[in-house]
Amino acid sequence: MVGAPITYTAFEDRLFSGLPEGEIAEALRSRGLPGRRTEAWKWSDLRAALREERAASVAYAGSDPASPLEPEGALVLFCRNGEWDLPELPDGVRVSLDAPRPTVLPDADLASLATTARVLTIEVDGTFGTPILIRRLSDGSGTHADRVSLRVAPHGRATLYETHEITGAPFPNSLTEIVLGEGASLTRLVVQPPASEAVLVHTSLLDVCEDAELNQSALTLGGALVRHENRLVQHTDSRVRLDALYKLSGQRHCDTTTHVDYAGTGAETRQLVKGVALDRARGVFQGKFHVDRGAQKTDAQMSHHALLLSQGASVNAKPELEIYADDVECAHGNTAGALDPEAMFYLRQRGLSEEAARGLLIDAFAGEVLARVGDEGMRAQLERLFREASN
Amino acid sequence: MLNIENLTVEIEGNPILDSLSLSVPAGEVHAIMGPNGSGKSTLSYTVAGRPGYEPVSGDVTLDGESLIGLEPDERAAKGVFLSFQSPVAIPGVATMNFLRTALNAQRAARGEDEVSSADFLKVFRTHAQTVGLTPDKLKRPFNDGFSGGEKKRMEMLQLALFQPRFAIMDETDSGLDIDALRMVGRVVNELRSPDRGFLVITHYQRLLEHVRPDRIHVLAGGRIVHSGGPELAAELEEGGYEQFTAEAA
Ligand SMILES: Nc1ncnc2c1ncn2[C@@H]1O[C@H](COP(=O)(O)OP(=O)(O)O)[C@@H](O)[C@H]1O
Ligand SMILES: [Mg+2]
Repeated sequence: MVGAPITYTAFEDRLFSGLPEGEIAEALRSRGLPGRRTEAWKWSDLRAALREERAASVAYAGSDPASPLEPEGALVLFCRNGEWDLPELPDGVRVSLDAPRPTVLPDADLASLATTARVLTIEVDGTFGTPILIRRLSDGSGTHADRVSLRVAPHGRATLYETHEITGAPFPNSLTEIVLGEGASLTRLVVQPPASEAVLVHTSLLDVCEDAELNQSALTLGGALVRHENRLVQHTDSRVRLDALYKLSGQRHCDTTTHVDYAGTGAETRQLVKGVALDRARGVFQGKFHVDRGAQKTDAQMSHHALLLSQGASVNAKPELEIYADDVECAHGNTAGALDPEAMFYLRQRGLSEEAARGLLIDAFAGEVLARVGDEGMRAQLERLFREASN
Repeated sequence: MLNIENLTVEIEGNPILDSLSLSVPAGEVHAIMGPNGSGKSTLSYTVAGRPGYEPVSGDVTLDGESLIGLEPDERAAKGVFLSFQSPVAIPGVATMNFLRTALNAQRAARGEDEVSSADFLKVFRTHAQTVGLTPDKLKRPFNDGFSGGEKKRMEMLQLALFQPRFAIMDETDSGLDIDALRMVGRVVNELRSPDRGFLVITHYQRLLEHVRPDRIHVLAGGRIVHSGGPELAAELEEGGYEQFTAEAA
């Protein structure tokens, strides 16, 4: 790649010429947007999906839709086409909107690009019992970025819900940075209803300090091209649940990419990713656990299971364990297949239509991921969102 | 009631049922006995409409109406019930929710009223007790972690619950102890009635002591090679299938 001349697409031309001069602009200009030829993006050709010219987004035009997640008593922060709308704040949390701090983030060009946006900083000190709901609303056909930085102080507790509610064909580029201080704990849910025409990249960078705990689940229903990338650093004795569920119909795509680095000993990771692909949809899972020589006693499990429900549907998966320590327990599993014909016939013999039997088995398949969501009310809302997406 | 006429079924190009004919009048219990691989389960799947078991020729009718070409759930709504030889476990599917949904789907197809959750629960509990399944088992996903015997009890629970017009019981007795066999006898005898029929597939005389058949048929090589009264069970136990398979050849 080095030195190979790049012919920019119409979108790249416009995007790159609008960037402030500096390292980010240089880095992006030298490589172009990631796509088919970039190893980490080989199944999600962002460059091709964004080929056409596209301007910066104008103001959000629609009215706010009903939220796909309705956590009781939540503090709701709206981001409409990249513009923040902040409510009055209760005690126990500090929120500020700061000037951009452009930063080159390693192996994350899209995240770097998002650092050109203003930073919404959220700080939680003690236990903040009110769930924080960030609703990112996007419409039109332009592009915009947003950046959220959440810090949970040592031994603090917080709950963060994030939605991507997209209509039309925009390209939002979101970045969530999270630092969980020593012994802190965070429950996080990310939900993305279907957005057939939209391109979405959401990068999350999480630093999980010593003894901290993260319980994360994502439900995504895909788009023209959607990538949810989570990059974590886990420190000594931290515990992480890193689950995801996707259901894709039509020609939708969703890429779930996760990368966990172990920077201490005795960290625990439990990852269960499940997906359902119908019609001509395309699912992607890339998971990597990178266990350095010093990260002894790491206990990490990664599973990805996909249901392929039509001839035209496809799923690409690359689960990877990169282990340099000798005293660790790490495992991964990966399967893809159709619905069990024996179970289908059994259910139908008992009177269920083909559609009902299929629905029951698909919900049962997904149930394993959703059952791990601790909050009963949220779990029920996720189940409904999953079920209502077409089979 | 159930009429099978010249039924020929091929699996992957191999003939498994060979112009088989059999008739079970309403109110009767017929037994089918036959060596392993003779086509007994194939016959039950064909009647129930399992994909891949479409007949090459012949017909299966219930009360004069052909079942061939109907979907499995349409046959179920018409009253065809199959107690599976090896019932599947379905992780993630809640047992009671599934069975209530299935019962109401059948009832809706027949134009009958929905059964309320409360009424369902009452009936379900009674049957569960009859077949000897404890409440903790029923809270589990369907057949999840069940032993072979427990799965057969679950089949009998469903027989009692769905009250089908025609039930096929495919080796329900295999893997059951004496008490469980007696339970199967109780469930079936309770359901025996002038407008209901049973086809009981078994290898052993034991079950037939609890469920007295009106007729016994020997299935070998994909056809009925011999039929007789209840006394045939003892003859088979005594002399094996060979006496009749030889006769057929
Ligand atoms: N799905 C199938 N695929 C291939 N062969 C089958 C299938 N089902 C049944 N058979 C074959 O058909 C024959 C009859 O099987 P089956 O009906 O199960 O016999 P039984 O129940 O009397 O033991 C056997 O030779 C079996 O191998
Ligand atoms: Mg059999």
